[in-house]
Amino acid sequence: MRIEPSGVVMIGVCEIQTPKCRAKEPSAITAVWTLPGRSQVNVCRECMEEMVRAGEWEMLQSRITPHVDVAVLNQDSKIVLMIEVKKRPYYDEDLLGFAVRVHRNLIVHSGIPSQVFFMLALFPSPFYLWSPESALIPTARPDFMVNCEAEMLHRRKMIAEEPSEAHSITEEVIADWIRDILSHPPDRNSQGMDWLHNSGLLERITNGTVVRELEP
Amino acid sequence: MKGTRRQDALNDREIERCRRIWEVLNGGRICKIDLSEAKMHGSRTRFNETRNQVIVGADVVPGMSLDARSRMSEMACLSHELAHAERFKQGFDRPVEMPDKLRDEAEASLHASWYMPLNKNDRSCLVEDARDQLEAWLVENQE
Repeated sequence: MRIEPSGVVMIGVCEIQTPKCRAKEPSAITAVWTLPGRSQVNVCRECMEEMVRAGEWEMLQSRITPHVDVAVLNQDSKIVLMIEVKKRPYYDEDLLGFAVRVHRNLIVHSGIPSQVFFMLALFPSPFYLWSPESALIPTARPDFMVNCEAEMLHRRKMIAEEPSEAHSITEEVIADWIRDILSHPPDRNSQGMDWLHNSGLLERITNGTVVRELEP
Repeated sequence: MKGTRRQDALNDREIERCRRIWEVLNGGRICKIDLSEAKMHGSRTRFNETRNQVIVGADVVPGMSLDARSRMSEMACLSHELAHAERFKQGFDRPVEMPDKLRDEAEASLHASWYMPLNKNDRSCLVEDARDQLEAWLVENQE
């Protein structure tokens, strides 16, 4: 959906309220219009960005703040793998289409640095991986799809016994998963891990460091 | 912020409005905002590198002239100063002498023109300001 900012600033409650929302209580928010209908939506800055990151909103002529949920840095502190973490949308059966839309929005709004592997993790599964060559093409479909639902659910249970919707827990689960891959790299014959070798990702992230919540 | 902008001190309501705009711009992720000078007549809005603060002055409010720098809204003006701060954080040294200062001003306005919460007018005004600064640079450079 195309969105046009009104530039109006006011105190109010955000109508979107993503997990990163900062205006669940009255705070500084702005109003945007949906196009072509021009309905008004009152939204905080964080949710505005989240809606663009989620592929739901398109805001022409603007950029989002570069932000990486989980990343692997090489020994020169350059990003080699960027992971965008989202909960799997239950309302959208076309997960591949959803993934392509999110990836496109991040490219169009400058949310992906160049020369990196890009992974969209629709927690708990599937995860989609774009190679550095295709990661910068807005319409590119992912090169690999990783199905790891059982492992992710098990890992999440290990981290938090209580079921939680907190976004940060899913990010921590994925960061832990990547740390384990780095400390005990699976061999080619490991079940379900061939994508790691075939994509060339393992080679690129070897000796890397996992970081969270990075603003490149 | 130069151009022919307002000189009168800001009242409490206007200061609060600047605070809200700063929050919507998410300026806090880059630097702090100092509103203490806003009640002084003729004070200037600027980014201070040493203090790493955007200082809001009376001229945050647009004036009556027709050029982009004078017309710029409070939102566009604070976006421009935030862009200076963001570029400084990214390691861009700011030239302090003319005419290169004008190119830095143009770059800050262009940088700011990408910010999400800006409406069409503010975005256009910032791009127009960048153009004006570059034109001024070209004129200065010919002499």
